[in-house]
Amino acid sequence: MKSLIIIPAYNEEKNIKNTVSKIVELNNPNIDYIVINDGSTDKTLQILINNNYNFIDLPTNLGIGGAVQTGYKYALYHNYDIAIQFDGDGQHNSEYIDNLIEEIERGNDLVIGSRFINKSNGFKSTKLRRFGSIILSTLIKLCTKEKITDSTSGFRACNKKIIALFSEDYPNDYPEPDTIVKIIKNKLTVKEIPVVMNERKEGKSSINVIKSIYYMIKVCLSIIISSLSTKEEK
Amino acid sequence: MPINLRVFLLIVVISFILLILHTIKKKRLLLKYALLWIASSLFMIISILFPQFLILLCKLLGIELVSNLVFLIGFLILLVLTFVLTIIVSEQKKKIILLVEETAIIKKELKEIKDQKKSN
Repeated sequence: MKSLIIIPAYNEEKNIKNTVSKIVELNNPNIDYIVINDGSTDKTLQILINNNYNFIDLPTNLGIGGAVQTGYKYALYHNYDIAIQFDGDGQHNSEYIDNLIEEIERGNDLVIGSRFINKSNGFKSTKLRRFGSIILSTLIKLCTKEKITDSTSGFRACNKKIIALFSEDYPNDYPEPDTIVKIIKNKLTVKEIPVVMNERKEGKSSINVIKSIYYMIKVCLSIIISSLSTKEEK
Repeated sequence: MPINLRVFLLIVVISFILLILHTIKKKRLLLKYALLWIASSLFMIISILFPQFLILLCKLLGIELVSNLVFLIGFLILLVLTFVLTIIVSEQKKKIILLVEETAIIKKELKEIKDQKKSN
Protein backbone atom coordinates (compact mmCIF):
# COMPACT_ATOMS: atom_id res chain seq x y z
CA MET A 1 0.00 0.00 0.00
CA LYS A 2 1.27 3.45 -0.93
CA SER A 3 1.50 5.87 1.96
CA LEU A 4 1.90 9.64 1.96
CA ILE A 5 3.25 11.51 4.95
CA ILE A 6 1.77 14.99 5.19
CA ILE A 7 4.04 17.44 7.00
CA PRO A 8 2.43 20.83 7.66
CA ALA A 9 5.05 23.51 8.33
CA TYR A 10 4.55 27.09 9.43
CA ASN A 11 7.74 28.98 10.28
CA GLU A 12 9.71 25.82 11.01
CA GLU A 13 13.10 26.84 9.59
CA LYS A 14 14.89 25.33 12.59
CA ASN A 15 13.05 22.00 12.68
CA ILE A 16 11.99 21.15 9.15
CA LYS A 17 15.32 19.77 7.91
CA ASN A 18 15.55 17.44 10.89
CA THR A 19 11.95 16.27 10.48
CA VAL A 20 12.20 15.54 6.76
CA SER A 21 15.57 13.80 6.99
CA LYS A 22 14.12 11.41 9.58
CA ILE A 23 11.39 10.47 7.12
CA VAL A 24 13.90 10.08 4.29
CA GLU A 25 16.03 7.86 6.55
CA LEU A 26 13.14 5.39 6.79
CA ASN A 27 14.10 4.54 3.21
CA ASN A 28 10.81 2.82 2.52
CA PRO A 29 9.84 2.82 -1.19
CA ASN A 30 6.14 2.64 -0.24
CA ILE A 31 6.29 5.79 1.85
CA ASP A 32 6.37 9.22 0.21
CA TYR A 33 6.21 12.52 2.00
CA ILE A 34 5.02 16.00 1.17
CA VAL A 35 5.77 19.17 3.13
CA ILE A 36 3.05 21.81 3.07
CA ASN A 37 4.60 25.23 3.58
CA ASP A 38 1.75 27.24 5.09
CA GLY A 39 2.84 30.69 3.94
CA SER A 40 5.83 30.78 6.30
CA THR A 41 7.44 34.18 6.79
CA ASP A 42 10.87 32.78 7.73
CA LYS A 43 13.33 30.77 5.62
CA THR A 44 11.27 27.55 5.58
CA LEU A 45 10.57 27.83 1.84
CA GLN A 46 14.23 28.50 1.04
CA ILE A 47 15.27 25.39 3.00
CA LEU A 48 12.69 23.30 1.16
CA ILE A 49 13.96 24.50 -2.23
CA ASN A 50 17.66 24.22 -1.39
CA ASN A 51 17.35 20.65 -0.14
CA ASN A 52 15.18 19.68 -3.08
CA TYR A 53 12.43 18.39 -0.79
CA ASN A 54 9.02 17.39 -2.10
CA PHE A 55 6.79 20.29 -1.06
CA ILE A 56 3.67 22.33 -1.80
CA ASP A 57 3.93 26.06 -1.19
CA LEU A 58 0.66 27.72 -0.13
CA PRO A 59 0.54 31.28 -1.50
CA THR A 60 -0.85 32.56 1.81
CA ASN A 61 -1.15 31.37 5.41
CA LEU A 62 -4.27 29.20 5.81
CA GLY A 63 -3.75 27.79 9.29
CA ILE A 64 -3.19 24.16 10.23
CA GLY A 65 -6.52 22.91 8.87
CA GLY A 66 -5.99 24.31 5.38
CA ALA A 67 -2.41 23.08 5.25
CA VAL A 68 -3.34 19.54 6.25
CA GLN A 69 -6.34 19.49 3.91
CA THR A 70 -4.05 20.43 1.02
CA GLY A 71 -2.05 17.32 1.88
CA TYR A 72 -5.17 15.15 1.90
CA LYS A 73 -6.20 16.56 -1.47
CA TYR A 74 -2.75 15.79 -2.85
CA ALA A 75 -3.08 12.24 -1.50
CA LEU A 76 -6.50 11.93 -3.14
CA TYR A 77 -5.32 13.22 -6.53
CA HIS A 78 -2.31 10.89 -6.48
CA ASN A 79 -4.31 7.90 -5.36
CA TYR A 80 -2.49 7.11 -2.14
CA ASP A 81 -3.93 4.33 0.03
CA ILE A 82 -2.84 5.81 3.34
CA ALA A 83 -2.23 9.38 4.49
CA ILE A 84 -0.26 10.13 7.65
CA GLN A 85 -0.16 13.50 9.42
CA PHE A 86 3.23 14.28 10.86
CA ASP A 87 4.10 17.63 12.48
CA GLY A 88 6.95 19.65 11.05
CA ASP A 89 8.22 20.73 14.46
CA GLY A 90 9.99 17.50 15.46
CA GLN A 91 7.45 16.45 18.11
CA HIS A 92 6.61 13.18 16.41
CA ASN A 93 8.89 10.15 16.13
CA SER A 94 9.17 8.53 12.72
CA GLU A 95 9.73 5.08 14.28
CA TYR A 96 5.99 4.82 14.99
CA ILE A 97 4.94 5.36 11.38
CA ASP A 98 5.11 1.63 10.66
CA ASN A 99 2.85 0.92 13.64
CA LEU A 100 0.27 3.38 12.35
CA ILE A 101 0.35 1.86 8.86
CA GLU A 102 0.03 -1.64 10.32
CA GLU A 103 -3.19 -0.71 12.14
CA ILE A 104 -4.64 0.80 8.95
CA GLU A 105 -3.79 -2.39 7.07
CA ARG A 106 -5.67 -4.31 9.76
CA GLY A 107 -8.81 -2.47 8.68
CA ASN A 108 -9.03 0.55 10.97
CA ASP A 109 -10.11 3.74 9.23
CA LEU A 110 -8.30 6.23 11.45
CA VAL A 111 -5.34 5.47 13.71
CA ILE A 112 -4.18 8.05 16.26
CA GLY A 113 -0.78 8.10 17.92
CA SER A 114 -1.66 8.76 21.57
CA ARG A 115 0.65 10.13 24.28
CA PHE A 116 -1.67 9.17 27.10
CA ILE A 117 -2.69 5.59 26.32
CA ASN A 118 0.29 4.13 28.18
CA LYS A 119 1.91 5.67 31.21
CA SER A 120 5.24 5.36 29.46
CA ASN A 121 8.02 7.90 29.30
CA GLY A 122 8.35 10.78 26.93
CA PHE A 123 6.97 14.25 26.61
CA LYS A 124 3.41 14.46 27.94
CA SER A 125 2.81 18.16 27.39
CA THR A 126 2.13 20.74 30.10
CA LYS A 127 -0.28 20.22 33.01
CA LEU A 128 -2.73 22.71 31.54
CA ARG A 129 -2.83 20.91 28.21
CA ARG A 130 -3.24 17.52 29.92
CA PHE A 131 -6.16 18.93 31.85
CA GLY A 132 -7.63 20.20 28.59
CA SER A 133 -7.14 16.77 27.07
CA ILE A 134 -9.10 15.14 29.89
CA ILE A 135 -12.00 17.55 29.35
CA LEU A 136 -12.00 16.81 25.63
CA SER A 137 -11.88 13.03 26.18
CA THR A 138 -14.84 13.24 28.53
CA LEU A 139 -16.80 15.35 26.06
CA ILE A 140 -16.03 12.99 23.18
CA LYS A 141 -17.03 10.04 25.34
CA LEU A 142 -20.35 11.75 26.10
CA CYS A 143 -21.00 12.53 22.44
CA THR A 144 -19.84 9.27 20.86
CA LYS A 145 -19.49 6.72 23.70
CA GLU A 146 -15.94 6.00 22.56
CA LYS A 147 -12.81 6.52 24.57
CA ILE A 148 -10.19 8.68 22.89
CA THR A 149 -7.29 9.46 25.20
CA ASP A 150 -5.39 11.95 23.03
CA SER A 151 -7.88 13.70 20.78
CA THR A 152 -5.60 16.64 19.97
CA SER A 153 -2.79 14.44 18.67
CA GLY A 154 -1.68 15.58 15.22
CA PHE A 155 0.09 12.27 14.63
CA ARG A 156 -2.42 10.09 12.83
CA ALA A 157 -2.95 7.90 9.82
CA CYS A 158 -6.06 7.24 7.76
CA ASN A 159 -7.23 5.17 4.81
CA LYS A 160 -8.71 6.07 1.42
CA LYS A 161 -12.25 6.54 2.73
CA ILE A 162 -11.13 9.21 5.15
CA ILE A 163 -8.75 10.83 2.66
CA ALA A 164 -11.78 11.42 0.44
CA LEU A 165 -13.85 12.66 3.39
CA PHE A 166 -11.16 15.10 4.60
CA SER A 167 -10.49 16.40 1.08
CA GLU A 168 -14.16 17.28 0.88
CA ASP A 169 -14.47 18.91 4.29
CA TYR A 170 -11.90 19.68 6.96
CA PRO A 171 -12.34 22.23 9.75
CA ASN A 172 -9.88 25.08 9.73
CA ASP A 173 -8.57 25.80 13.20
CA TYR A 174 -7.60 23.12 15.74
CA PRO A 175 -9.33 20.44 13.66
CA GLU A 176 -8.27 17.18 15.33
CA PRO A 177 -10.95 16.55 18.03
CA ASP A 178 -13.72 17.78 15.74
CA THR A 179 -12.78 15.38 12.93
CA ILE A 180 -12.60 12.40 15.31
CA VAL A 181 -16.23 12.96 16.34
CA LYS A 182 -17.29 13.28 12.70
CA ILE A 183 -15.56 10.02 11.83
CA ILE A 184 -17.12 8.07 14.69
CA LYS A 185 -20.54 9.48 13.81
CA ASN A 186 -20.00 8.32 10.22
CA LYS A 187 -19.62 4.77 11.57
CA LEU A 188 -15.93 4.56 10.70
CA THR A 189 -13.48 3.02 13.14
CA VAL A 190 -10.93 4.91 15.21
CA LYS A 191 -8.04 3.18 16.95
CA GLU A 192 -5.39 4.62 19.23
CA ILE A 193 -1.88 3.28 19.60
CA PRO A 194 0.70 4.37 22.17
CA VAL A 195 3.48 6.68 20.96
CA VAL A 196 6.18 8.71 22.65
CA MET A 197 6.47 12.33 21.62
CA ASN A 198 9.34 14.77 22.02
CA GLU A 199 9.23 18.26 23.38
CA ARG A 200 9.41 20.93 20.70
CA LYS A 201 13.03 21.46 19.85
CA GLU A 202 12.93 25.00 18.53
CA GLY A 203 10.38 27.75 18.21
CA LYS A 204 7.05 28.30 19.90
CA SER A 205 4.05 26.00 19.79
CA SER A 206 1.04 27.36 17.97
CA ILE A 207 -1.01 27.28 21.19
CA ASN A 208 -0.04 29.51 24.12
CA VAL A 209 -1.51 29.78 27.61
CA ILE A 210 -3.57 32.90 26.92
CA LYS A 211 -5.23 31.35 23.90
CA SER A 212 -5.98 28.09 25.74
CA ILE A 213 -9.37 29.06 27.12
CA TYR A 214 -10.49 30.46 23.78
CA TYR A 215 -9.23 27.24 22.20
CA MET A 216 -11.13 25.02 24.66
CA ILE A 217 -14.39 26.90 24.12
CA LYS A 218 -14.05 26.67 20.36
CA VAL A 219 -13.10 23.00 20.34
CA CYS A 220 -15.83 21.96 22.81
CA LEU A 221 -18.43 23.85 20.79
CA SER A 222 -17.23 22.31 17.52
CA ILE A 223 -17.38 18.81 19.04
CA ILE A 224 -20.95 19.35 20.24
CA ILE A 225 -22.05 20.83 16.91
CA SER A 226 -20.38 18.01 14.95
CA SER A 227 -22.10 15.38 17.04
CA LEU A 228 -25.47 17.08 16.63
CA SER A 229 -25.29 17.81 12.92
CA THR A 230 -24.37 14.28 11.91
CA LYS A 231 -27.25 12.89 13.93
CA GLU A 232 -29.74 15.03 12.04
CA GLU A 233 -28.48 13.87 8.66
CA LYS A 234 -29.47 10.29 9.39
CA MET B 1 -45.07 64.07 12.76
CA PRO B 2 -44.36 67.62 11.44
CA ILE B 3 -44.47 67.90 7.67
CA ASN B 4 -40.94 69.39 7.34
CA LEU B 5 -39.42 66.42 9.21
CA ARG B 6 -41.33 64.00 6.99
CA VAL B 7 -40.15 65.70 3.81
CA PHE B 8 -36.58 65.72 5.08
CA LEU B 9 -36.66 62.00 5.99
CA LEU B 10 -38.30 61.12 2.70
CA ILE B 11 -35.53 62.90 0.78
CA VAL B 12 -32.87 61.05 2.80
CA VAL B 13 -34.43 57.62 2.24
CA ILE B 14 -35.06 58.21 -1.47
CA SER B 15 -31.46 59.35 -1.99
CA PHE B 16 -30.37 56.20 -0.15
CA ILE B 17 -32.44 54.01 -2.50
CA LEU B 18 -31.01 55.85 -5.50
CA LEU B 19 -27.52 55.26 -4.12
CA ILE B 20 -28.26 51.52 -3.77
CA LEU B 21 -29.56 51.31 -7.34
CA HIS B 22 -26.59 53.27 -8.64
CA THR B 23 -24.13 50.97 -6.87
CA ILE B 24 -25.87 47.89 -8.27
CA LYS B 25 -25.74 49.38 -11.75
CA LYS B 26 -22.01 50.04 -11.39
CA LYS B 27 -21.69 46.36 -10.37
CA ARG B 28 -20.14 47.22 -7.03
CA LEU B 29 -22.97 45.54 -5.13
CA LEU B 30 -24.63 42.24 -5.96
CA LEU B 31 -28.41 42.46 -6.26
CA LYS B 32 -28.74 39.49 -3.91
CA TYR B 33 -27.09 41.42 -1.08
CA ALA B 34 -28.83 44.70 -1.90
CA LEU B 35 -32.30 43.23 -1.35
CA LEU B 36 -32.04 43.54 2.44
CA TRP B 37 -31.09 47.20 2.15
CA ILE B 38 -33.90 47.90 -0.32
CA ALA B 39 -36.41 46.12 1.91
CA SER B 40 -35.39 48.17 4.95
CA SER B 41 -35.58 51.40 2.91
CA LEU B 42 -39.12 50.52 1.78
CA PHE B 43 -40.09 49.94 5.39
CA MET B 44 -38.75 53.40 6.23
CA ILE B 45 -40.79 54.98 3.44
CA ILE B 46 -43.97 53.30 4.67
CA SER B 47 -43.29 54.57 8.18
CA ILE B 48 -42.76 58.12 6.95
CA LEU B 49 -45.84 58.20 4.71
CA PHE B 50 -48.15 56.45 7.17
CA PRO B 51 -46.99 57.19 10.73
CA GLN B 52 -50.33 55.82 11.97
CA PHE B 53 -48.97 52.43 11.05
CA LEU B 54 -46.16 52.86 13.60
CA ILE B 55 -48.58 53.98 16.30
CA LEU B 56 -50.74 50.93 15.67
CA LEU B 57 -47.66 48.71 15.91
CA CYS B 58 -46.77 50.39 19.23
CA LYS B 59 -50.16 49.57 20.67
CA LEU B 60 -49.92 45.97 19.48
CA LEU B 61 -46.50 45.47 21.08
CA GLY B 62 -47.25 47.45 24.22
CA ILE B 63 -44.60 50.12 23.57
CA GLU B 64 -45.50 53.56 24.90
CA LEU B 65 -43.19 55.83 22.91
CA VAL B 66 -43.11 55.62 19.11
CA SER B 67 -39.42 56.63 19.14
CA ASN B 68 -38.61 53.49 21.14
CA LEU B 69 -40.27 51.35 18.48
CA VAL B 70 -38.28 53.12 15.76
CA PHE B 71 -35.02 52.47 17.63
CA LEU B 72 -36.00 48.85 18.20
CA ILE B 73 -36.76 48.29 14.52
CA GLY B 74 -33.55 50.03 13.47
CA PHE B 75 -31.56 47.88 15.88
CA LEU B 76 -33.18 44.67 14.65
CA ILE B 77 -32.54 45.54 11.00
CA LEU B 78 -28.87 46.19 11.75
CA LEU B 79 -28.66 42.94 13.73
CA VAL B 80 -29.96 40.94 10.77
CA LEU B 81 -27.71 42.80 8.36
CA THR B 82 -24.52 42.14 10.35
CA PHE B 83 -25.51 38.50 10.81
CA VAL B 84 -25.98 38.12 7.08
CA LEU B 85 -22.59 39.80 6.61
CA THR B 86 -20.84 37.29 8.90
CA ILE B 87 -22.42 34.46 6.91
CA ILE B 88 -21.13 36.01 3.69
CA VAL B 89 -17.64 36.47 5.16
CA SER B 90 -17.57 32.84 6.33
CA GLU B 91 -18.66 31.58 2.93
CA GLN B 92 -15.98 33.65 1.28
CA LYS B 93 -13.31 32.44 3.69
CA LYS B 94 -14.21 28.86 2.83
CA LYS B 95 -13.97 29.59 -0.87
CA ILE B 96 -10.63 31.38 -0.50
CA ILE B 97 -9.19 28.42 1.43
CA LEU B 98 -10.35 26.07 -1.31
CA LEU B 99 -8.81 28.27 -4.00
CA VAL B 100 -5.49 28.59 -2.17
CA GLU B 101 -5.29 24.82 -1.68
CA GLU B 102 -6.03 24.04 -5.30
CA THR B 103 -3.70 26.70 -6.71
CA ALA B 104 -0.87 25.47 -4.49
CA ILE B 105 -1.32 21.91 -5.77
CA ILE B 106 -1.50 23.13 -9.38
CA LYS B 107 1.62 25.25 -8.82
CA LYS B 108 3.48 22.15 -7.67
CA GLU B 109 2.33 20.01 -10.61
CA LEU B 110 3.20 22.79 -13.04
CA LYS B 111 6.70 23.04 -11.61
CA GLU B 112 7.11 19.27 -11.98
CA ILE B 113 6.09 19.42 -15.64
CA LYS B 114 8.50 22.31 -16.27
CA ASP B 115 11.37 20.46 -14.58
CA GLN B 116 10.62 17.38 -16.67
CA LYS B 117 10.72 19.42 -19.87
CA LYS B 118 14.04 20.93 -18.86
CA SER B 119 15.65 17.56 -18.22
CA ASN B 120 14.43 16.14 -21.56
